[in-house]
Amino acid sequence: MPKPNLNDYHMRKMKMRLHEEFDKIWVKLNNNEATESQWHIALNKWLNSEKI
Amino acid sequence: MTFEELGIRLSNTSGQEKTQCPQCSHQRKKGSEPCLSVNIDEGTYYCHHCSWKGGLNEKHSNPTPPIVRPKEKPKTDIPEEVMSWFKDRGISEDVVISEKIGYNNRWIQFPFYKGGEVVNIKSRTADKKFRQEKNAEKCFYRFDHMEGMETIIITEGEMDALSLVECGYNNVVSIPDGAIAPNAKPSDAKFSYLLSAEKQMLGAVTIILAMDNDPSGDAMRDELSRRIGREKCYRVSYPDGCKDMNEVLMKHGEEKVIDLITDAHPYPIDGVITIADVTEDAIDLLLKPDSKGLSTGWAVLDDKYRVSPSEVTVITGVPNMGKSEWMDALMINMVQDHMWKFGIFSAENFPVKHHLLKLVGKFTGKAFWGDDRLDEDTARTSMSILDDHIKFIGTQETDITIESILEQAKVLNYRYGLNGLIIDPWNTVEHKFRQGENETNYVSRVLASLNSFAKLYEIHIWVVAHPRKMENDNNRKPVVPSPYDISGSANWFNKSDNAITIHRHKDEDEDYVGVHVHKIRFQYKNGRPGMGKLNYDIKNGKYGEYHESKEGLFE
Repeated sequence: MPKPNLNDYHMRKMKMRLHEEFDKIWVKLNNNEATESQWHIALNKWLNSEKI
Repeated sequence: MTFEELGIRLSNTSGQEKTQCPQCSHQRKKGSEPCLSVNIDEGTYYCHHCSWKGGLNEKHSNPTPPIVRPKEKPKTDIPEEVMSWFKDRGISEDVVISEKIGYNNRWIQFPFYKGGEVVNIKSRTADKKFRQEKNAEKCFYRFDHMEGMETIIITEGEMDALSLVECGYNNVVSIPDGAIAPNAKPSDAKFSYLLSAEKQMLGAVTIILAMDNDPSGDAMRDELSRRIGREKCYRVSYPDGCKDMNEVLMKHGEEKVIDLITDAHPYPIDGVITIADVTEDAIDLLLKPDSKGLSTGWAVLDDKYRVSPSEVTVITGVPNMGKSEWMDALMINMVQDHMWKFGIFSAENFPVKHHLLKLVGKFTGKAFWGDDRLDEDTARTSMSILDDHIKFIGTQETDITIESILEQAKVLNYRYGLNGLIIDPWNTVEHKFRQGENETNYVSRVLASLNSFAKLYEIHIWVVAHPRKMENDNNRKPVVPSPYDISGSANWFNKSDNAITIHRHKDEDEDYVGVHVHKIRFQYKNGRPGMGKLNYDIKNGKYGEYHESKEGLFE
């Protein structure tokens, strides 16, 4: 896996935001306000960004 | 790498599972608590206690589970007490039967028919607990009833839709998942049901949005109208004390419901806006005086140029001084910082594969050429993220007009909810003058149409335009052009909301890219004209701040 570019402000901001969005979906899933599919998509989006 | 090698103990071989985290569970008081979420199919895991996360190395081609249809239709044998429950809410037995409502062990079942088949079942109890079929297709409730309809009424729930059916309206559908929270950023998944209804929604002449009378309903109505097109959307006004159409039916009867639909009023887009239309928006602005446009991602520009929806920005500059490069860099910043979505017509960057690599370079901050270029995995992962945010327009047509770009942007907005549209450059678009129309009048007319499109769909539009002529100063260096120098008259300056020139300043002492902000229409929120200095990294195509200090950028 490539090394993360820690100096890139914009990339870090995006990762942080995707992480927050995933957390929100997780809470919603627990409250039956989101589907598993939404959970999968949010998780994958965030983890994909972490790979860069 | 396997889950076992990572120390993750699983009892299933597929699906999703919660288990103990090998990183933190043994150190916790609640060590037996399953805090690690594992998606076995996708090979991903996340601990909600210690944030340990990752993925296995296998490539996963399809992260979305397959769509599943309900195994059986709802049982339409409705007990008397359930029928009474409907009657208490103004819904007759005839409607319950004709709509094939079902009932099963406390749960009232609303079948979602599409093409005559049940694709989903939404169930609710009398005390408003809801559930839907797992991994079912998302589509409008009563999908088949909007086929070929010129007018479609959209409600927020099934009972509201049935209330309208009760009053004789058959062209009624309901969104499947209820409204969105106010101020929430709408996700594509939340609006996925729009995709299958694209033909009906875009083909309809009138859409009446009968969402609930609360902040969530307002937010849903605004986003739906933004995507469908406000020129065809109508709103209903509920009487005092009524939150939705079912309450109107119960409290005031059928005639009032019919009155509300008959009196539905259009969005204020015809040029006539009453004070009542904008009172709430103005009060919002008053209560939040510090609300500003979004940062471009360069702190040095924050006091000079910020990005707000519903505006048009004109970018100009001498050829080969980086207008398009800066435009791309701004787009990537907006994607990374604000998760914006763009439609982009960039004729000088065709074929798209070259343009995409340049964008990936800016996105990752890594070179896309040379010996130290980024690796394939990083490129693929970046492209998969960018795919959610950037759509290329006009790539297969020869005669691209502003009208065709806006038409494609309209469809993209419906599907994905665009935030930004880039037209780069103006001179590669096919310009069709009307009879007797000169260039000045043409530019005026088209900029007016871009302005109204931006406001209608709350999209920020950037137009990159070359100057008509380039002049040199006494040292034979190009003079910074202004929007008045763009071919087609002063309308470029007058009819845009913001006007910027990108110019490279290079001499023996310094070498930087100047972002010359000539005009900002709404200075209280988007900054005041001035010049910001950036430097350009030719390896990855990124722009950074010219001065050494990164203060304010790495907060």
